[in-house]
Amino acid sequence: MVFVKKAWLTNPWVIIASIFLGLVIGFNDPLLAKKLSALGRLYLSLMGMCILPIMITAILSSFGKLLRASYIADMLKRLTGFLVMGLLVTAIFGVLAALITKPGLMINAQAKQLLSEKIIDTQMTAAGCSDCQNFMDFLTGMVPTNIFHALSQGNNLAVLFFSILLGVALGLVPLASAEKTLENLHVFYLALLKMVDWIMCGLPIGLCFLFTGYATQIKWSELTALANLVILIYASGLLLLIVCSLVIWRNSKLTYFKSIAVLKTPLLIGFGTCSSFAAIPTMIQSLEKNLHIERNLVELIIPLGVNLFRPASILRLAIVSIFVAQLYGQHLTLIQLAMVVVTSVLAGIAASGVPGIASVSVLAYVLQPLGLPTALGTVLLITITPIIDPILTLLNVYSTCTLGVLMKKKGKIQNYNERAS
Amino acid sequence: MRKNAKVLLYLLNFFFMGLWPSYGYAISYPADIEQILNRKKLIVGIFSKDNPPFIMHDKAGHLSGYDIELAKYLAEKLGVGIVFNQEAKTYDEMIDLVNQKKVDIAMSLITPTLERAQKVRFTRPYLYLHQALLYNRLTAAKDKITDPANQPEKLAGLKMGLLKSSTYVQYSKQNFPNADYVYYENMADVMNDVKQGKLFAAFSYQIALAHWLDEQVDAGLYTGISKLNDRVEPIAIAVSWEHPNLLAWFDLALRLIDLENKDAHLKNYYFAKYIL
Repeated sequence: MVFVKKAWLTNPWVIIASIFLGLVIGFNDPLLAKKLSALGRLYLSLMGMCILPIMITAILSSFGKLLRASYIADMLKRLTGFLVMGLLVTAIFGVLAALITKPGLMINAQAKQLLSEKIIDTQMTAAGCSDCQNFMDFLTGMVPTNIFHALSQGNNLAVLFFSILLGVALGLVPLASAEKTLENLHVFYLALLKMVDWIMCGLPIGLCFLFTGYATQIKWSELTALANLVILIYASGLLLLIVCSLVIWRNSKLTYFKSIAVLKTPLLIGFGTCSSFAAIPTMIQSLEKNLHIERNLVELIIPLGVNLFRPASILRLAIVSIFVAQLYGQHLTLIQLAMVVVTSVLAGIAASGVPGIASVSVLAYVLQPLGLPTALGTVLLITITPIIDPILTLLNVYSTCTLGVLMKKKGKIQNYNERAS
Repeated sequence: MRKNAKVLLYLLNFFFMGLWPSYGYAISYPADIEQILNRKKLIVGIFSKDNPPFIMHDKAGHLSGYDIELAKYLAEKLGVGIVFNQEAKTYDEMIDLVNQKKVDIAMSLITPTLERAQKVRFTRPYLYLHQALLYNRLTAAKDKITDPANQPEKLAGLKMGLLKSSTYVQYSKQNFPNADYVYYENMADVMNDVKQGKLFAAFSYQIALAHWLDEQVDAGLYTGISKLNDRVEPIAIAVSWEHPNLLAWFDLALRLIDLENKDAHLKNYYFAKYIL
């Protein structure tokens, strides 16, 4: 399978150049940028249209196959272990980073005024935002009442839930034709990937157009007012990215730089589109082809990971929560800090069920138990999200890749199981 | 025939004779309106302290605000100048000024109440205002109060600041019977104390609270506004009970302003953006 016909189209330098060009156009000609960014969004839709079917066919065909392998229980145990560990470590890291650098104490009058105005503005438009959803709503949101409705609404968590169950069921149907169905699904999946390949040819142009739009959205006054928070999030994100790269490097037989380079396409797509879903197809392909991880495994773990393993949103929640506490002059006890860690992990997972910008509402899960107002945190997240989104998506994509690489190590268990059976 | 012409002439003569006296008399005005026309000035009673964005002093010390501009517009329609009387320290004093005819009208965010209506008469309402609480966000978060204005049971024992002798003294007893009331001379002090956490809430017009919030630099971080559901307060002009014709004139003028939306630009300029 040829991933991209013209290698130079996904050459990092070409992509970086096109992003740079997009930014230049965006800053210099906002009118042109508006028109171009519409084309950029068109490209994003083009990329997005294949994602849901790819997710479903990948999970169905891989889960069905994996069920027939005996190591599935071990694998799921390991997966859960890595997932929880990874998220907890991220939350602890975020809390520590914010405690050490104290961004909420160093906030200047200009930033306070900006945030105050934003809070007032949002209250004007959305009066009484008190109906934040609880954990039960998250669970009910995960179980679709109607799978076609969930599909058409792009309710990923519900689709994921349904696909896994259907995958298990398909794997358990004791018919030879079940095997064939799985094969057919895989054919669909490959065809979808083919479509993505074609679409990828437009990546440099698409990213260029998208970035013209981002450039017009960035408000420099807001960026400078909240600079310390933005820098903190970028720095922590970069640190975690380095940790991920080290883990991947240690678990692959490649040189350090090579181990980063093989994942360049999904990373650049994640960074450029601010959507980890858009990076799913290339993530699967890169892990499978370049890091030689078993196909069924990758096809299951990547869709799962993209939906549930999102350290970046947890990092964001933890840092912003500590920021809010600092700004209001609240000293948090050790128990409260531990609470922030646990609740931000839970809220981060819950956020995957809430689409788009509404996902900031999960901040209430973290702040309410501490007795802190949620309005400031929500406004803060909405304000800085356009600026920090690229690095956060990059982190989500890279950590999901790391999860895939870590799961590969089960080779030993697999051999052991095969011998045992 | 001749006789008939004579009769006709007589009748015509009678007609013109009958009309004749009316040329000599001036058109009569009702006494209450005539008094103002003769004086060439409308005396308007307003509250002694600023009540932005309805009554306020700008940096140069000039009066401005929605009520001020509307009063000026009405005086212009009446064809007279305008004088503001700012003696009243409380709303009750303002009603008394009207009652004693020291002012022609009082127009300063006055709510018609049955008690006041025994001393003066009120025009049709020219505004309907929402009542709201300005609350301290930190206290609200600690006590898990999400919508203070509509959770009176949760406000038990919490301090609520009110303007002395305003209608809100009564309203607070109706709406927040368990709150701990603190009375102030000046609304701005109440709102500052809410920001600093000395009070939990200030109870007033939503527009006034929102206007204050907008003027502050960082108050949005510490305070929020919560509107009472389904509670609107009418605002009307008070006129002496001895001036029924003046009352009728103002009633019609307000009705026409309302029909033709003549005050839209005033509303937009002074407070449209503060309405939740």
